[in-house]
Amino acid sequence: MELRYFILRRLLLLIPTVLGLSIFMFILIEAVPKAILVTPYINPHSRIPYIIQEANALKILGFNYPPPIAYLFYLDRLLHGNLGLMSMPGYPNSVAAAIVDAFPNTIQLTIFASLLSIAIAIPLGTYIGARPNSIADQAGRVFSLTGYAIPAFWLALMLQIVFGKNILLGNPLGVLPFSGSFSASAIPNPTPSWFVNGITYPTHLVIFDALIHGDFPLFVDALKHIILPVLTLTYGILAGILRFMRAGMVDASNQEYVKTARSKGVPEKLVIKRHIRKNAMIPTITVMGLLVAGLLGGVVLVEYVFAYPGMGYLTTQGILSYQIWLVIGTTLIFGLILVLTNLIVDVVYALTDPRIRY
Amino acid sequence: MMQNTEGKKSESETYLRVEKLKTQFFTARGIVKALDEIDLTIRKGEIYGLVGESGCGKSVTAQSIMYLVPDPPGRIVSGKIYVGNVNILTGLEQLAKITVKSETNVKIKRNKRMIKRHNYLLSRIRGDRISMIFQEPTLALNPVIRVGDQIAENILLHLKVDMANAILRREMSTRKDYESFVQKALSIGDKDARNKAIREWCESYSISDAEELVRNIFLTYQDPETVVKSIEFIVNERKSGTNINRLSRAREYYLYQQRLFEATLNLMEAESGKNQDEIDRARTALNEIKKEGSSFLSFRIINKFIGKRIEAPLRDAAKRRVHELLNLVNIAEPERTALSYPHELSGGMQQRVMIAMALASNPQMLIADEPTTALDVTTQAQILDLIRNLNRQMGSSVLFITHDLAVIAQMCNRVGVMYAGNIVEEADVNTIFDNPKHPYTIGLLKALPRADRIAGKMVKLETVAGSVPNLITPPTGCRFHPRCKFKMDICEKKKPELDDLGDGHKVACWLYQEPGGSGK
Amino acid sequence: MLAVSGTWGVRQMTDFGTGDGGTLLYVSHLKKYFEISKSGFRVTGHVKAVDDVSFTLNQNETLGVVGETGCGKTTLGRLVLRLLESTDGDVYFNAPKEVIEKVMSLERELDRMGESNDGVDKERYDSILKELKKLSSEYSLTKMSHRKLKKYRKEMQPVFQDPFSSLDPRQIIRDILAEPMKLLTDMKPEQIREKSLQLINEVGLSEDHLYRFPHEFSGGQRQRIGIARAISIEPKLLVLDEPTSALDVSVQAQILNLLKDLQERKKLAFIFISHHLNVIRLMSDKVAVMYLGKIVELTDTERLFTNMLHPYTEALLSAIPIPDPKVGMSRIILEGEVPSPANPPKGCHFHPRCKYAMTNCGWSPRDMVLPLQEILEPLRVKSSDVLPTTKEILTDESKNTVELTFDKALTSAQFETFKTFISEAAAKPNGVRFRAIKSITLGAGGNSILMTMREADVPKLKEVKPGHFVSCLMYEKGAENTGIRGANVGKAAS
Repeated sequence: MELRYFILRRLLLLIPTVLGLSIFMFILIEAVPKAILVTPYINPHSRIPYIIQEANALKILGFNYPPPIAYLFYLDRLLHGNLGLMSMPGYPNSVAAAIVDAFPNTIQLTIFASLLSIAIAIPLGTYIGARPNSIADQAGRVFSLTGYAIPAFWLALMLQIVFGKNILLGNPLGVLPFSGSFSASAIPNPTPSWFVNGITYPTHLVIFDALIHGDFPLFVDALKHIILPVLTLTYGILAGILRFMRAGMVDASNQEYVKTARSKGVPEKLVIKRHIRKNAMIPTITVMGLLVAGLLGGVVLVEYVFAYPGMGYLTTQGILSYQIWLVIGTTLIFGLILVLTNLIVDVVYALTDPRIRY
Repeated sequence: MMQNTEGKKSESETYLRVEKLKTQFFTARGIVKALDEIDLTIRKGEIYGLVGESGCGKSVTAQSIMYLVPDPPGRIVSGKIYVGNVNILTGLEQLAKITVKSETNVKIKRNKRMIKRHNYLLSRIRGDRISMIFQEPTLALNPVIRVGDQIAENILLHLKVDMANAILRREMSTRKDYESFVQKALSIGDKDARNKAIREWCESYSISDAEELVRNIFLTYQDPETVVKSIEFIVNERKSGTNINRLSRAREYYLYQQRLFEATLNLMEAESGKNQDEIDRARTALNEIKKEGSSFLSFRIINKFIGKRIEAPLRDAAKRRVHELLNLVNIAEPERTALSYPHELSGGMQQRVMIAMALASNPQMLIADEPTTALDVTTQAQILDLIRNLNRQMGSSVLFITHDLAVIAQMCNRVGVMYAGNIVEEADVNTIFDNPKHPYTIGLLKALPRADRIAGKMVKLETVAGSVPNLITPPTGCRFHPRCKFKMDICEKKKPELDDLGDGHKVACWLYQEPGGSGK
Repeated sequence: MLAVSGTWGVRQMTDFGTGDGGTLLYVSHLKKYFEISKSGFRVTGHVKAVDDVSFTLNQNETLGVVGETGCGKTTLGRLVLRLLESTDGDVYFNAPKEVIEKVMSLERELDRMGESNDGVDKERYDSILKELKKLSSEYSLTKMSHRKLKKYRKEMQPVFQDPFSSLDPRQIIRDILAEPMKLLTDMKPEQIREKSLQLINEVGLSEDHLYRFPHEFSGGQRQRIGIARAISIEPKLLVLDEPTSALDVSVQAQILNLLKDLQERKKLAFIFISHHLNVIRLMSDKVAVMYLGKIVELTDTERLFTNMLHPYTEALLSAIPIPDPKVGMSRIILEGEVPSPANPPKGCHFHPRCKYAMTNCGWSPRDMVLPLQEILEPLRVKSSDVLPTTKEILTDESKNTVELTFDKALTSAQFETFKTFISEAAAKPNGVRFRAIKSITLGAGGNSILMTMREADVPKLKEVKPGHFVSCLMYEKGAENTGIRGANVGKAAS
């Protein structure tokens, strides 16, 4: 099958892309003063003099060699899953471990947000796309333009102010938690064995772990915490998908095959469902993938505003406390996700459109 | 009067009748008067050719007849189109109210309820009584649906009742049938003859895949009782997918839908007639039938959830019919072709698929809009041949639209020549080519390069000067007058009517009629 | 490598003496292969869009190139103009007369050497090749450097099919017309302006049209502008690619007349590419019929239309609808479609659709699969005693064999029956492909039958009558079918 070759080719192309990404990261590392790079490798309480500790760290990291060799050291560390060290109170020492803790939360937000937006945008786009220039269409346009125009962090703040439970604000609609991924009061007493240092096991996702261990109140509490961040993220992509779905519908309804369908006597409802929507989905799917990848940018800000312990929150904390290895590490992971999403989009696209020649 | 008897005779044979059809496009630059009250009749079984240059309105005519004019910007403003005895423009005035304030300022107020009902009417007529083949098969086939499914869609829309009937008849057959068959088969001594009988019987029960098995049963057992039992077993196994009760309920529902359609149609026709009594009667009739609908409520709910399972035997039948149709249009491997996507087929094959799709529900009328323009000469020859043969076999009428006079000459019985939204000449094909009357027709024929005539360096074509006019501001009077060699004063002032010169040769030109006499 | 066809040789210059300046263009063994790749990793095959095409064109003469979609006619036009790089072959345009004569005589000598059965004088052969290479690198457009090419560029110009997309929508007509003059000549702005005015009048438009944008014109007017642009730098050759296909009949007539006028006045040579045979007949002095990248017939127009020799030409011509309802058409409806150029039939590309096909026309295993199934199907139905059930039909193109496998071993009687079926099928009028089976043998184990096909002969473009070039095996010496069409022709040629 040719699809197999296509996927194989794309996977092979992944290698240079990822290498390129790592080189870029390394250039950033090289640009940073060495003193900052070695900070987490130094134990201030040790009796060994700073200078010697620094020299040792530089040697371990390979920075006593010229940059190309140092890059190989870096690559070697990457391949071993070693993203460097960090020192932030309340977080593990290793960047990789911190990312492993935070990563599921981000993915959870992203997946919930994208599923929700797809579930809303596709039917809605179909509806308004079938009725161009109607009142519904105008309303849809305003709705999606607003989605484009409103920055995620601002929307997040607004939602927080209006719906967030805050004693100081005393807002009447404030029924949802203000921030975090669960309330301290919802933690069962005594703390169960799957709940260690605010991290739940095995999935690291409070919602699912609570379900797995049958702790229903905690599950509801965690679910409440996720509503506002997910809504904020949803609005942005929802607007994008809606616009594309509408445009796809309008474009497809002007095609000749729609005339053919009508000339066969296909009822209007089925013309839309079977003939127009199916074709309108093709461009929408592409955009959907890109938007979901783009979501990662929004996630950083939204997590920060809601203090949701995901990758974004982690990154911002890292930036604020000069954790260079952490920042580099999360950036690398974000880059990887982007590349992989693109690959998935391409494959899905090839699968949905029979005309695509791989 | 002679014309009257002539009219009556053709009336009885007419399948499509277009009266004073006026289609316009309301654009930002002005109103494009695309069709200027054209009249057209097409008789049963004939191929009527409509020829003209681009922008003359021949495609708009086809789209108007199918009510496919893209809206906005286009709308049929007035006229009647009878398909069989149904006017598909019934209630046209109620669909939308058009207020023309100026050329560029037109308000169209649509009545959604009426449009919905009209769409319902159209969906029952299009594809069933009248279907269409488009110019570019590449664009006209849905790229993401397998061609077999696209053809089957048409069958499942219009032939449900027929197919359900056929299936039920077959499935309801009793044990008696098997017994009589087994007796008959066992009485045949000759092995070959018996095999043949088994084969035919299996086919009629659509158990062709069990044929081998049935034959073995005959070979193994000799006593009729066992054979009957075994066959019963096979046949039952075969039809275990069909729930006969559900299917017959479904058939009743389809029949009810048909009655509903007819009643709605009656009401629409009555409403356009403005006779209050009739309207009331039609409305009560419709309501009566609608009441019946309540008894189908539970079925409709079931249908909603397991409709696919109920229709499974119909789908099987539709699949077989798709293969038959593909065979009919000379596609060598119907099974494989049915499973391919349009882009996997060549242009000629795609056009064959289009034709198969158009013929799927045995329509009485076929509109072919430039069906061979996008194809190569040799493929064109194949497709033209196919359309002609199918027309002969099935006896359906064809409205054949093309810009190529040569194709017209080879295909059609009667020809209408269009220019700028008018039919300017109409006659049988020999008359048009031997004795054209309208200056435009004459010009067109002379401008044609011909492969059957010696040409050389010195030979020049005669041309019609100028080009097709802009239809936002069409020329006054006869729309051809700015390009006409024989222009007279009256041509600019008054539009000539399509006048019969005898023998059905109609011309719209002042050269052949008295200015005073055309008012009739 | 070069020993392929009897080229469209020197003699034709005198045969078609309509031109007054001798040979303007000599295209020799021109090829364009596009690479195709299934996996995206390596080249798996070639589309031979133009495959070994040769012809000459005189000044003030029109060559019509006709064929169906995908036959390579457009590619040929682009190759001649070097808008596309060719894979192999030469285009001598406006070269000195002696050079062309020299090239032709050398190529003829090579052909003779290739055909003769005696030992080839290796030294002479190599020296000819070397000389040809030298000449072609100096004079052939396909091998020339771009700087040198510029000089020739202005003497040949294209006119494209689509008058809607070939004009820049953001330029006014004056600038569109001026562009080639600015780029390719050293005319002064003043002269260019004058010339533009003269051009626009020449193609039947007026001065105020110079200051409009392309979208303000109708299709016919745009094509006039396209022509005006092409002739602005006084070329000697116009390559017209379907110039009237997008136009209406009445406008087409105007454009064709304009082209004829221009040709007469400016002594232009045309390569007129079209799939409209009626237009070709009106416009051309000689016609090349193309099928799947090859010229199958090449002769002067009247002879082609009245006395065509190639079966494809015959079918093509009979497919043209005639605008006269009384002319009953004796159509040859070609079966099937034009095969994919990526995988054309063996031997003569046309043989699967040819009604005169002979056993050596290139019947290969893949031509046999469907007909064999057709034979075996009724057998299976009749009774399973005659032959065991067929499992599959395997083809091997490289070995030229078809293998039929059965679920049981065949008895010798069954094998004989099979043989008789084949010979019955071969005896039918349309059973040529079965006659092309060289041998039928029982495979090892007895449950398969192996059929070997006859080797294919490849037809070459040959002069079968004076000035009439055909690429068809019917006109070879000792062909089976000469009785049908080519008997008298064969005599005339020999």
